[in-house]
Amino acid sequence: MHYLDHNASAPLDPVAQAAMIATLPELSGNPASVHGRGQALRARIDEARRQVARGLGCSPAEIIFTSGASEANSLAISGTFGLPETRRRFVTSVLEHASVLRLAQQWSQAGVELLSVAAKNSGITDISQFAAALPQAGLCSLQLVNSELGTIQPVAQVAALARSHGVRMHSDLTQALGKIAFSLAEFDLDLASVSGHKIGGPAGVGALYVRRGVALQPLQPGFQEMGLRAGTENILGIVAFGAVMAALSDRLAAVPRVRQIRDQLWHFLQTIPDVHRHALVAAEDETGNTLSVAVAGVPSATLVMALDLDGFCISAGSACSSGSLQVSAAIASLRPDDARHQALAQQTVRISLGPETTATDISALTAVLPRIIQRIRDIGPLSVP
Amino acid sequence: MMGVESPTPMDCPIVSPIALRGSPDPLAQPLLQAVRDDMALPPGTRVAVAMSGGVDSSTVAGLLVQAGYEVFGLTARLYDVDPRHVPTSGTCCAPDDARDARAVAQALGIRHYVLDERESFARTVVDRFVQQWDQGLTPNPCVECNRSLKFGRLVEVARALGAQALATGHYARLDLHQGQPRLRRGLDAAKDQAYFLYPLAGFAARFLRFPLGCLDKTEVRAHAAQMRLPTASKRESMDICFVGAQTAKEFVQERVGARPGVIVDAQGVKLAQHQGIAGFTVGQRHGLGLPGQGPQAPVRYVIDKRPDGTVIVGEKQQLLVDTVTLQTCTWLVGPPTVGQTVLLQVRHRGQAVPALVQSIDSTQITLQLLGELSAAARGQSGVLFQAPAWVDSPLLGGGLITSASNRPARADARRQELEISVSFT
Repeated sequence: MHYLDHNASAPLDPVAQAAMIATLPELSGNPASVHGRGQALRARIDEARRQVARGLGCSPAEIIFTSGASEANSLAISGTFGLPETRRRFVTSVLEHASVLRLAQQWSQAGVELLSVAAKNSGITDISQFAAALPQAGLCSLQLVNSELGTIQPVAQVAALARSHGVRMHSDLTQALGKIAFSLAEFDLDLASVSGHKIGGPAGVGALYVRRGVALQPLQPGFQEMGLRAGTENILGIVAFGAVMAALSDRLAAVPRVRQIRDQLWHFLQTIPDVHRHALVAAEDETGNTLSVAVAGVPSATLVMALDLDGFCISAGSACSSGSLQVSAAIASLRPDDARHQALAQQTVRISLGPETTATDISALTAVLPRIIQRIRDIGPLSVP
Repeated sequence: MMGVESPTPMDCPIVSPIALRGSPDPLAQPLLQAVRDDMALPPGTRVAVAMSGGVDSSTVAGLLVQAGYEVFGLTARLYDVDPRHVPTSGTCCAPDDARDARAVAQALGIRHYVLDERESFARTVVDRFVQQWDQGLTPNPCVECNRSLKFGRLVEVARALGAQALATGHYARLDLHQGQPRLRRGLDAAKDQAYFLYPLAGFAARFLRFPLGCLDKTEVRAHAAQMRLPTASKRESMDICFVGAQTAKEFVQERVGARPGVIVDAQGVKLAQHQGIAGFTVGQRHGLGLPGQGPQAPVRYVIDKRPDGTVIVGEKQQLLVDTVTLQTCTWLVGPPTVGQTVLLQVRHRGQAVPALVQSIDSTQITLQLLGELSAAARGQSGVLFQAPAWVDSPLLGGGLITSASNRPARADARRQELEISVSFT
């Protein structure tokens, strides 16, 4: 099995596994309890909070553990618009994760004006559009890295603009963590979301950075997580998240090698006729681990299934469908008026690598890919009756 | 952990392969050899199974795994059931059934993919069904689903994924006979589905496999239970899948709304009004809403429905058919010839009746009935088998009934005349 879908989820890191195994014998008890057992668990969580804060470059008191980045996004957005004093305009980008875009739609139905900034052909959002949209906004949310394209968004510039307009700024850092080196100190953010399983932790744990002094309306009121997120903590997940955050520099050290094998793969893909790469930008504008490629004449879902049967995990840029293909909104948004691009969007797959990816994974892929593509192309356009 | 290159960073383990845990079935080896013979492919070959989530296709998947094939499952997501009309269970391809198919795939440790075919299914099957009902036709959506989805889309996807065959849970026998595809009825007469499969032709006829054709339902359930498949005791699906808990008539009426029309007798005398042609089926005798239907009144049947919304009623005798014309024909091997005696079946579980080919061209075939056939409605599928009538009669092909004429007096004489010249075994 060759796992080339790191943007969906990174393989469980041995340090995360070790941290969970070490915690299991001590798992009984409630970290909210006064007694020794509670205190022992509290110590584990506190340590993880320090690890996460250190990895992000903030204070432990600014970290709220959540069930993942989607919940962190929800808490940031609904927690902001849940405050009556927040100005009723939300500025975000078309490239955001569904947890942001769907929630934005909900708030839009509840009377919040929604302004979604488009991306340029490059897969990078247009700062000038943010400048126009930000006045009178209550919140701006812009991801740092796009999950499908690997492009880096101008978060620092947009955050500076937001600051100048007195607009609260949130960034979904999920896809950036472990792929590019950064510190929260660089960005002037009020809120930021991260996830454990994109960096080798288990799924089911993430965090929201809440800058000191930033008020939020809790989604789930209670006593845990500084009153912002009720519920007995996911101790195993939190401990493992802390462990992988502590090892973040190891992931970042692998980035140049990952980029090198990713580039080798792209070099190979160019030998196959009619393979088009989206968001081909300068090296400093993308993470170096992602390839978003359209293989003309090959529906994305078919290629994903065909590669799976041969032992390769990749993902589709569009939903598994025929007829009215639910094309990825992010890919489709790049050239909305270009019919050829819209057709290619239905034939787009994402190959995303990580520190665990080896040259062998890539050579195995290049050994089978031309044959599989040829087989699918030979059948001709899969009919829609 | 960094810098350590793990050769298998994330394996995809087989989830609880319960099917292989059971004790060996004494019948297993001959059965599995029969499955391999039927597949006509060596073990280890990659094959696809169309998994509806029912016990039949689940058993096919299980048998193919046990017979040593590299099996993967394909499930087509066809429609969303209207929440107001969700049946408790027992339809094919509904979301619950996709989950059941997944559970079976997990139990067998095979890959399983769900194809979202909702848009094309709505267009090619559901909308067409509603439209045809509304025009007074009696369409069979299962036939159209087989033609477009199973023989079309699923075959294409299976090929694209490197499968050498697509197996389904249909009760019919398909093989190559003297180098040509041959489709015969399933040996379980109560389950035989050959009628629905008549649009089979071309590449699909060589690519599809029906491994249950020689088994009966009881055996299939027993094998499913022996393999401990989660669907082993699942209820049978019988009705049109996408109508949910509604009847087909209710489904159509809800979509086309009220379309008032008249009910007339064969002489054109107006007898009553109705609220929509969708409420009537050719052969129907109850619920016609005719005045004067006391115990002494003659029993009336719907004998025809016209596109203008007129429903014609008459006596039972008037349902008897003399000649039938089929269009949009598909022939599995080649069309029959003028003067050839064939067997005509016009409904699932209906009797196949001898008929003589009167005329045939590239667009239509007209058949003279030699036996008694009642209520052949326009839009129904007419399926032809080679005479004489027995379980091994190969399917020739079929088409949609575009006209069925009723000339009782002439038919009786002609039938007597022809019955003498045709012998049945």
